[in-house]
Amino acid sequence: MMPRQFALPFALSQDYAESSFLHAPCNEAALIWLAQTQDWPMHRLALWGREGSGKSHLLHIWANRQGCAVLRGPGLRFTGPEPVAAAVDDADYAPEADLLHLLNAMAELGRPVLIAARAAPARWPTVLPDLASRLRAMTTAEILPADDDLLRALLSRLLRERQLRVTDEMQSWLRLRLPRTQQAMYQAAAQVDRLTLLFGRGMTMQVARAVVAALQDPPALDEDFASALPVSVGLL
Amino acid sequence: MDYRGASFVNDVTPSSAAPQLATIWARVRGRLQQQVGEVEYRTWLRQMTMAGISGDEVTVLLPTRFLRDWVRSHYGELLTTLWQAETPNVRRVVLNVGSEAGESPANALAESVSPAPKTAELHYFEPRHAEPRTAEPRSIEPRWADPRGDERPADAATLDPRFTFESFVVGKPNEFACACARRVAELPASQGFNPLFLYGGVGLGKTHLMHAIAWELTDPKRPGGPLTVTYMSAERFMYRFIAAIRANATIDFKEQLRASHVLMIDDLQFLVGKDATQEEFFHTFNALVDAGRQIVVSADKSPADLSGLEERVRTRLGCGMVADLHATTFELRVSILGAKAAKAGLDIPPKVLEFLSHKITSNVRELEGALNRLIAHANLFNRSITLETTQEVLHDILKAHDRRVTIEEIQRRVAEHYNIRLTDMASPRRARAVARPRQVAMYLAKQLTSRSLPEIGRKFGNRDHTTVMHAVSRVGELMAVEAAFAEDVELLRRMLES
Amino acid sequence: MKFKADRAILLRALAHVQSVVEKRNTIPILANVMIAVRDGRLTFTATDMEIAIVEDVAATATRNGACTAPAATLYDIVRKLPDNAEVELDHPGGDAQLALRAGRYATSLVVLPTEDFPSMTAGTLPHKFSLPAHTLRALIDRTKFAISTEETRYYLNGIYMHATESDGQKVLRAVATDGHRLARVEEPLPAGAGAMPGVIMPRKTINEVRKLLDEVSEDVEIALSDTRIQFKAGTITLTSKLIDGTFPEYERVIPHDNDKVLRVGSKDFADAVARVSAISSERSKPVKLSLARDLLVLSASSPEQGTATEELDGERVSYEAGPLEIGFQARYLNDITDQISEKVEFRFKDGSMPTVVQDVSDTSALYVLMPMRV
Repeated sequence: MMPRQFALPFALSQDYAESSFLHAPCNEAALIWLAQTQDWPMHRLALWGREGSGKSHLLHIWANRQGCAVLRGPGLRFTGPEPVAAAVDDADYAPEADLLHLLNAMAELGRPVLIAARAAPARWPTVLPDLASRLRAMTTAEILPADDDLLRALLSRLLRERQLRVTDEMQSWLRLRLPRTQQAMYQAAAQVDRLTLLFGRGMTMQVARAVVAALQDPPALDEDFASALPVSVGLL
Repeated sequence: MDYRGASFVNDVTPSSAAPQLATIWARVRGRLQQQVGEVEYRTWLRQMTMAGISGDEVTVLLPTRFLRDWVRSHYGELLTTLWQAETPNVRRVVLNVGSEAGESPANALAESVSPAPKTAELHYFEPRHAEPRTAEPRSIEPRWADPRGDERPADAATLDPRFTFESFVVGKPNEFACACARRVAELPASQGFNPLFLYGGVGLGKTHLMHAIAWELTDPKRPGGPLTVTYMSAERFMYRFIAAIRANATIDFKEQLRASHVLMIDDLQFLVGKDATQEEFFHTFNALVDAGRQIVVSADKSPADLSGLEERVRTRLGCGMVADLHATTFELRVSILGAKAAKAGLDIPPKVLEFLSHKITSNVRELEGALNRLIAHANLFNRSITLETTQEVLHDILKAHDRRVTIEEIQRRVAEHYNIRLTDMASPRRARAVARPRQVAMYLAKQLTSRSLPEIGRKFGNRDHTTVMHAVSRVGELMAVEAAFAEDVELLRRMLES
Repeated sequence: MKFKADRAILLRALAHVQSVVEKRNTIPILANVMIAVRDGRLTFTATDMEIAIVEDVAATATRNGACTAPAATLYDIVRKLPDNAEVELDHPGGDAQLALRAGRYATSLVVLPTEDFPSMTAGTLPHKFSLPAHTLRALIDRTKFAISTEETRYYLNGIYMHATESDGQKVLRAVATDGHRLARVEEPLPAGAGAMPGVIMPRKTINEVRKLLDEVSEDVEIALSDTRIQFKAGTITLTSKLIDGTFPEYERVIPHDNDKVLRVGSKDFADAVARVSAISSERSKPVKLSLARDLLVLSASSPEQGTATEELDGERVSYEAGPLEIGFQARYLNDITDQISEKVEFRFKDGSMPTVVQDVSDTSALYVLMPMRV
């Protein structure tokens, strides 16, 4: 039964520090691409990978190095080229014309653009032909699904970030029962935080079970959202 | 002697023990890397720095509390052992949070992962702006109003050096347009070629031809001297015009445009529906033509098909030379790729070029984009370009989507492969003939899906997640000792992944 | 090592040190007190690796030396000696036992080598200031109850102390929270504390310091760094590690626009809460507050035992805002009203948002309390 006591609404700030990023085989190629901005064809790169795979974190690390801000795709408004470089998160949600103009304006000035989305840009349901062809010509760096080692490290890091002391045994108990995705690790850490605060009695089995119950495999997981989208690819 | 801080790194006195300490530290790191393996080392230990040694205590720094805790609990003893092997009088390795003073994080992004940068870093970037930025909400004021601006003179500096006539690969679909462009480049403003209107689908080379014309006309060695060329995309024309209006500088804007010998506007279709901008464009257009200047315009459709453009603008645009670029043919695509590969000095197997020309038919931009990606990938990861790497690198454009395998599919394939009934996957039968395939299916479900172990267990007749774990380790063990079995499982995995 | 001291003096010092040693510790030497005589000066030292206490003890020392002996046993023995006894301790050195004599009583205790006794280095403590004992007491007493005892959230297992500004005044603040309630107390900033980092003092340290404060009346000298804090009071020096964590940005959870104000006598309120909640069989003992103009009705119910209500009317409460129902754990209410002598002010928003509680006549302390669903 959920406790009736409310908890104080303490906020958590996202840690996008470079030193916090967990290097792993699944993100190695992406890291190499990001470190070599000068080698990007057309000065453009698209990062893609599933939710929670670390795209936003990488985007912030890169933007920080370039000295630019991270723009958000939804609500993106083109008002001229960005001064140094442009980083756009959730770029598949950007208004198409604005994204196109941004890409063009930055290309004219030879400034790099990094975009991130859950699917490869060639697979976005793009309507504008000019944008679609630029997206399909774009170099991409894919972040692959995480392996068990990364998930273990990630859960541990996320709990540490929230300053929650959870034993290794309890962490593996959770991991053995959770979907094996980074997103599930994020959600689990958030649930542990929320539930321990509500129950106020530490990381008990009661909390652990509630976390797992809250994170059952979503029924639509097999239906990858990318495959559910209409695809416009210029192939024979 | 006290080696606190990072000072020992800079201590170059040969008699000092400091360089020796740095050497020991390097050896400890090396041994550590050997023992834990490349991947683990990179994940956990690469960010270690040594703060110093004091008495029998070595202090090692890690940048975050999380890393410190992790290294302490997983590698603390190993670190101490390795230090002791090098320097027996060290009794303890203390791990703290911090980073070496003065250490620059440059290139730490892929430190120890990536090859050294091949060119000077960021050599073509403009200086960074110190202006404080906020990510959102975005300002809706055009940045052009800002006197600092990003505006560069609209001259050859913004021209793409790759877009010249020499690099334009001519074939049937584009030979007429190319000939017209060459003519304008040789004799600007000649009768019948003003304005020159280039049109065609996206990515077929309109921009390339326009840049090529501009290169010729602005060449300092041009007979008769270089001309002033204003080249801009329609969108840029638009936002500069709007910015000029806001800054009360429309006169300057007009004068700047009308001072050029040649005005080139790319992607005119973006002016559709923008009445005020169209109006301004029309007046500029007339003024320039009347003054005997050359106009070159590109769009995705012919003047007649550009709906949303005012009638008088359409008429004026169509009264010179209208040339279209057709969709590419297979032959043209192969020669475009061939020319590009030759220019890059790369020996790319013809099979690959033909494969790409066959698969990517939409336009030249995408075709070249694919080749660029292949080349960049080959350079960065030091791999040769083969048909196999091509398919791997370009899988996101060659395949409409990555199939995500389902547990049901795995069960079906595995049942077929071992010739058992699908229902046996969920049945309580324990006979080895069904139990082993079931374990293989569980193993593959763990490898190929991100389902939780309890969920996998449920799909196999409500089995417990420990049964799944057992199956996974059992199959792993068997694969290690039975080559034939391992091949079998690998074959199934490849079938499911393809 | 050899010295003589009054039983009362020894007992007092041993009481201090044996309180610090870890009773359940698996490392035997941590159960010991180190007794040392150097240049005629006698000191007792005890540590649990987190806290170290060193106390100067008045004695007649006749031979230098040191040994470690079980603190609890020694304390127990001294406690049972007659009141005015003079106690002699004698340790010839090495592995020899420690001899204790008082009148006709004699005992000898097994000692452990002093070399194995862990030394806790304080390092440099760049920030130094002093506080009157009663001020430090006030900071601790009014926040201590809100410290979290939940081990998962180690960064809340202590009192956060930092220098800041409050209404333009420089203040030293103590804050504690367990995620359900929060206590914030401030005192004028003492000289020397301006540049101190925010530190989280562990609960055990707070308890030990608080015990010592009952015995001192002079100022307490405090010195600290990022990782250590030291309290000096009279002959006692207590050094403690600090919690290695980041205290949450607590200011963000303190509401500033709660406009439903209830004022009530602290004792009236506390007594009513106690009477009403007595019926509840739940651990949390929820009490519902129903408010209307100048009327507060407290109620509680339990499925097994029935219901209880108590009304406080306009003679005892003032409340002018619209009707409101809100529930709290009885214990949480009492913990706060225990800190308030006369009249308490509650500032509510609604039944699910943080409530602010303050003493009407003393705004140096502020409490935030989360309600519960009722």
